[in-house]
Amino acid sequence: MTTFENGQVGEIEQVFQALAGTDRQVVNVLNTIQEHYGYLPEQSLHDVSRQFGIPLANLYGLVSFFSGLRTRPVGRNQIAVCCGTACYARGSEKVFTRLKETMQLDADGTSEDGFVTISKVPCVGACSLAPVLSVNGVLEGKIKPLQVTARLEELQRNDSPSD
Amino acid sequence: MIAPAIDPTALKGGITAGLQIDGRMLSEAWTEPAPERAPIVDFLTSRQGLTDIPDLLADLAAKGHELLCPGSMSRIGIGAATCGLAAGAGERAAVLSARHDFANHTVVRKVGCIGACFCEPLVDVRTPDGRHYLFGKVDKSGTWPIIHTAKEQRLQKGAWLVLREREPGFLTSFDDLLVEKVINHDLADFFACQRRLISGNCGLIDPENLAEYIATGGYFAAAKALLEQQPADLIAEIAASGLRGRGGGGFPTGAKWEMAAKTGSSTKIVIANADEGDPGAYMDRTLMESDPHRVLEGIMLAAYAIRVQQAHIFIRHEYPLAIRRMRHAITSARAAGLLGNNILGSDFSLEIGITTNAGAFVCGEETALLSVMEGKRGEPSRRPPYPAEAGLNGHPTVINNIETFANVPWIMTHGSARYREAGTAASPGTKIFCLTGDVSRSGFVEVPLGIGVTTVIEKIGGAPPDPIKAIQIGGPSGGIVPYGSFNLDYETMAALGGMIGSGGLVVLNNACCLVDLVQHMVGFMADESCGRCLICRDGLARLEQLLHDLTEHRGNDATVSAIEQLSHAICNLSLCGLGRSAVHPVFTTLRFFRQEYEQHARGECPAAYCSALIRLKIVPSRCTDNQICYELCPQRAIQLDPGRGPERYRFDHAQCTRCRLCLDSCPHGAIVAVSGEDT
Ligand SMILES: Cc1cc2nc3c(=O)[nH]c(=O)nc-3n(C[C@H](O)[C@H](O)[C@H](O)COP(=O)(O)O)c2cc1C
Ligand code: SF4
Ligand code: SF4
Ligand code: FES
Repeated sequence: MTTFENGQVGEIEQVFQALAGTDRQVVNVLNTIQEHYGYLPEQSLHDVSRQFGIPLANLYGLVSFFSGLRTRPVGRNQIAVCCGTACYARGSEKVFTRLKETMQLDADGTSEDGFVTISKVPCVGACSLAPVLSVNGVLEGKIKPLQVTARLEELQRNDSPSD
Repeated sequence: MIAPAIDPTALKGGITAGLQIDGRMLSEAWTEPAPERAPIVDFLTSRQGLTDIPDLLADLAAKGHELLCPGSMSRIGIGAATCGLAAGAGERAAVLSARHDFANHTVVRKVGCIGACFCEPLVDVRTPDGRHYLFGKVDKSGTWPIIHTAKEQRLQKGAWLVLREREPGFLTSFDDLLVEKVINHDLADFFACQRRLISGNCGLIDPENLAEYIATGGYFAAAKALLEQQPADLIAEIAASGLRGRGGGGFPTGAKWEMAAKTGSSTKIVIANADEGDPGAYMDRTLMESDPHRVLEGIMLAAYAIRVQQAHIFIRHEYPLAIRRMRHAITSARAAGLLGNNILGSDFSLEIGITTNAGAFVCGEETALLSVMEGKRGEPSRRPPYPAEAGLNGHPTVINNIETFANVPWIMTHGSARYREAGTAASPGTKIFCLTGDVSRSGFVEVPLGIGVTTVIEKIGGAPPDPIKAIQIGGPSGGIVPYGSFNLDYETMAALGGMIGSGGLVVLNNACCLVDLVQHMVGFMADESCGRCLICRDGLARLEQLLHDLTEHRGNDATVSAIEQLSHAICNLSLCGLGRSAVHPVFTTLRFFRQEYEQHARGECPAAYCSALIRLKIVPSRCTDNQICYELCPQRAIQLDPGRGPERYRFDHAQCTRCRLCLDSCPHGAIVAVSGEDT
């Protein structure tokens, strides 16, 4: 994995070099940066723009096209509710509503204290366990709206805001 | 420096390795007697009709065979694909791998998904006599019988199914296993009607071990092609097999390859489409996580057939494990010399890269996919020219689905005639479906095309407790059709107005409101529209709104006709398949379930699902007055009158948000939703 030097010019070159020759697409570089920071810091977009010779405005257009890319930081925990057909048919919408109502979220789906970001994802490919929740990247299946409060409390117990 | 070298003159009749010292060939090395071949190599030679197996593959096959079918040890294989891990396979694997007492008699391996997702975590214990004991739903306490089976090498309580290798000690596919003893009928019935040609290794081999794949005959088709066949032979064989693309459209694969092969361009590209955006479909994910080398070998065969030196796999970022396993597979194939320059000593070279999508359904469409790979927004473009003529950066590009590629090694090994034994004349072969929704045994199933949908759902999936109303097939661009006796093949589905698509099969019972589901699917497609076509972007958004009007009790009969008209317009005027097919769910439900729309227009939801059209009610005969619902209601919408018994429960319908918490939490099912006249 590439090590990033925060804000240093050249970090994008590092990411770029670390990718195999066949893998050097812009989208791969953007995904790698986001994997590292959880979002795409402004500085990194400037660097990508320079590295690939894509005007910044076009790059922002590209980033906004993909629902998986974010330009603002995320919460310390990330919960995504699957809203694919199988999950929806088994009540994932109710799970999402319950989560949203339990937490106070801003427009980006992040709680004010930065504790959690809640979002919807299209099918994560574990439909047999529908409805599925992804909690910090780990899938949990057969979730009922009823369990949501307890699950959030469990996360809160392990949460350390100082991180 | 000593390095094995390859005599180019021996290429056509297999490879003979010589010894090279400082670049000088030692002729003595040629007289060395050929090393004795491992039994697995003879077995594969006779079974699969492959002769002249290169030493590299012969050695790896022998190594892999010792891992896959150890002669003196038991082998525990834990299903560790995404579904298994979500069900707890990781913890079970950690516990079993940490046992020191296994040292001399048991090995623990992580394998992929055998498809029986309903009984994850699933553990396979293979004993040295060639028996496989399958354990389903292995919870924390369920590891003991597994440990005992591995140690004592006989059946223990807790196993679900015992399978035996047809020829003990040889395992090259799921088809080599016979059922010996059924303890749990669920698992036996799940497998009974399946034909596992393409997914035969899934859940048996370790996806991160190249040698195990080779021990099942893997890369032999590639070796044979590179060393003994001409590219045109491959195209002819694939064309003869009648293989149709598994990514949705069902386009003949042979014809696509032929088109690209014919172009005179010196640079051509192969792309494997693993975007798998259809919700409810995960066959590509399972194949990549369980048998990544089969996918690579398919890509390699295609690349050789079309004379391509560069291939890419385009994977959605929601599949991190599949990405990791494909990456791992590429690295190990490369290290073994199965990718890179002059593969197996031939003049064929190939590099395979991975591109990760960043979350946009439309990028699965081939021209949009190319756009992303070129560093642009994933917007589809008009065809022709087709990618096979002018694709990535203008080079002829063959784009096929992952499952399509996974079919190729099987066809090249067993021949097109045997492939055609499965399926129908117009839809040959097998197809993988993902069976989910209201069915008792959900999972990943491989069946011959043309199979009856009732066979798949009732025999494999198990008759569900509630009557089935409809099947949602082929993702949001597929259709919703009534449950009945139709066959699963390309023609039948097209006649019904649906699509096999990538193969999602979501079973829906009467508790599912189809108007609401269609609204959800149209909403998904509206969000995913790239926005190039006004009618797709605004039309789908408006369509969602109209459907919403119905579910929100704001619709009338005019709403239904407006939905119908708008859908036709979107279908006719959109540029790409997204807009054109996004209305399939609307068309099919209007055709088969029109009354549900009309009921919504009148303010009734037959499934009693739509919040605005339902009320909650207590069934007095079931209520035990335990107050659970009263305690739980976040709205305080349940009120208790003084006294005792069910009569004192009252719903404040104005306060109630229809969150259904009370309904889900009542242990006696005493709370029900009602719609229409009942309210
Ligand atoms: C909106 C849209 C989404 C698509 N998504 C996928 C996908 O996720 N995976 C896929 O293999 N094909 C997808 N396709 C079909 C591809 O454009 C293309 O036809 C296919 O990859 C060709 O492979 P095949 O011939 O092996 O089926 C999609 C098409 C459309 C219109
Ligand atoms: S039909 Fe929709 S998704 Fe396709 S090009 Fe037009 S706007 Fe984009
Ligand atoms: S549906 Fe929700 S709000 Fe309505 S009564 Fe039940 S628990 Fe309360
Ligand atoms: S629909 Fe939720 S995992 Fe597939």
